[in-house]
Amino acid sequence: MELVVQLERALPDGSRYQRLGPKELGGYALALARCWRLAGLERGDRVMIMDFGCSPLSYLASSMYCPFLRRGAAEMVGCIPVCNDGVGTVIPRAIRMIEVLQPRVVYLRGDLVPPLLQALQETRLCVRTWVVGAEEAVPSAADLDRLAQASGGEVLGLVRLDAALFMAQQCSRCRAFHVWTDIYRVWEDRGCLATAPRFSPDRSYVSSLPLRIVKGMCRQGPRHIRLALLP
Amino acid sequence: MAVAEPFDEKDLWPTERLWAMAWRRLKRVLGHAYQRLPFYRKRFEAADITPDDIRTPSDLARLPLLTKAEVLALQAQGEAPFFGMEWWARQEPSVFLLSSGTVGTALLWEPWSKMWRRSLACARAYWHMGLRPGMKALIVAPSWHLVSLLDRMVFELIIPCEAVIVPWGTHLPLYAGPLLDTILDQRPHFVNMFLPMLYALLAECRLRGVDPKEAFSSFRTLGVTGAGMTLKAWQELDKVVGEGKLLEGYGHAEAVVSNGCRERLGHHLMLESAYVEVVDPQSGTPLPPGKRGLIVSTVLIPQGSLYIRFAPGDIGELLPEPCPCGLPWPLIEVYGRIEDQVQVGHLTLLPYDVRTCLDEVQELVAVSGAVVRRRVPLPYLEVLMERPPGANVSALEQRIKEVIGRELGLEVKIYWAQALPARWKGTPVIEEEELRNV
Repeated sequence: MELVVQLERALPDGSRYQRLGPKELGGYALALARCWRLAGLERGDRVMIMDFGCSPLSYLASSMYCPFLRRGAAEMVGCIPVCNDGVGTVIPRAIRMIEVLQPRVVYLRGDLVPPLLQALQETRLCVRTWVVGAEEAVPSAADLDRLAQASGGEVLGLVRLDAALFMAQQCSRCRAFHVWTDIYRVWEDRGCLATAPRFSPDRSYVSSLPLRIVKGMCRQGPRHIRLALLP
Repeated sequence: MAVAEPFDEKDLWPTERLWAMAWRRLKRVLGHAYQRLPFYRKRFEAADITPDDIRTPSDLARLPLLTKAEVLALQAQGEAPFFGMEWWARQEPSVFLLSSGTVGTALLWEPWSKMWRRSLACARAYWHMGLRPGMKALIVAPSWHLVSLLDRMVFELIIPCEAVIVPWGTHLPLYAGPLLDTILDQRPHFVNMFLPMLYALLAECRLRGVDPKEAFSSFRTLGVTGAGMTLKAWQELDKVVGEGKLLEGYGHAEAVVSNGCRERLGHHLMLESAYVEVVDPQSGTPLPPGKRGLIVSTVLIPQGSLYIRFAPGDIGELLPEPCPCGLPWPLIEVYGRIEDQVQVGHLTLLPYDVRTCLDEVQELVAVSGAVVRRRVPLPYLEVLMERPPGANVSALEQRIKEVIGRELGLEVKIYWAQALPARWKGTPVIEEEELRNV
């Protein structure tokens, strides 16, 4: 029994489908839970996800969303999630849901930033942290800055490499992307980020994202690997 | 006729026993809401009743109907995230769902144990529709929608599927391309999707030169929900996708789960999770089977967001006759939305009534049309039709007039347009101002 997810972009072998069992889903959800904690989420918080149901940001959020997932990020962190899809046309609905639910953190697809900025011209929302996610791309610093200015909240980036079930999230303290060494192996391949999940080692992947490993440690995660990722 | 493959022993109970089970559960829910939920306590007190005053179904009329507008107002003013209509028994995973609609989007807070019990009713409906262990099932509904959560539970835990497939994108017709790719690549056996997406998939098939029968050949069941279809429309669509696999369901996030069967008389109500009434829209009094009115439902699982006597605005009727398929679960047929009602002469019509007549004219079965609503009702019906290419319009008009006269006892005026706006899905009601713009 497995979950078959159609991907946004094809895998290196040309397939657009990823097959995931309970073990892969569990390891992947742990990475999302770590991202949530890095964004400041704590037990009892509410979190909104503005992305499609096929995005790991959505389906790993709760075991109630995903077959074969024993514990989602919400169960690990103790939050209550609400999803609101990944299309720009539902931004007005998202604004209303944010006003009613007051989530502490909102995760959203990178391509929703422009319509969200448009909507924020007329509304002020009390979201403490926005996290902008992108698949094999670093969210544009200009977009993040504009969203921070328009929303008054903190804005972080999240990078996904779906082929390797990988997630790394920017830290509000050091601004580097944190990676968890107990979940992923990370190395540099011809100047680009390469990774393999420890819970599914065969899924190694060399990305097209140039990186620099940041030296020293961050108090948000002394044992995390920290990456400077370039757009 | 006995059910050949019952889901469990309840599929063999007489209908009266199922209603009695739902009534017992309803009484328990009313007592629970009165004792524990401030929102409902106030409603009982405002109506000057207690749950003990509700002894028969007709007594339910004393408890006011709950509308979406009331829920939205409550949620706009309430203390997030709970608004006095939610209950939880223990710490467990939970999520917020959205219930979208023409009036607005409401939030429902749903814990795991409630979803589990609702998914048992959904699993029964899916079993009746043909889902069996070991199949490959598609989830098309988005994560914010109840159907997605029910699918997740059913496909893994109740009727275990070999694979659960999630296409890229969302349930909107714009994403028919990736969905068709997924269907062609993964060859699923079961899906429950929204009707507009099925129409979008057919358009995508036409665009790619793919025969829909071939594209959908792996499906044993193609379930659709979210819009009413006339019998003729369903028969035509069933032929297009490959006969015998199209089934239509009805439900809403707040309470109701139902399934269509191959007899296609209506939808079998799963009374284990919702008590359903059809009431007079003015008085709120329950109507007997065979009478058309407002559909009202109460969720029978006293956890999470509790909707009691909730009227989402759908018009329908409980059907008086048992279904020839043998399932004892009572049948409901849904005709449309209360805001789509049109007054013509002494009749209150829904687009469904007009469409049923138009479908009698074979050349018009797949042709778009709209019903015109006047601020001051006229004694005759007005219909705007898309002109079928090469059609003899005067002959068509004559046949439309005959069938409307025979079935509805009305005269009809027909307007023809080269094309109707794509945003008019199905057979909409348009206001008189819009008629001038076509």
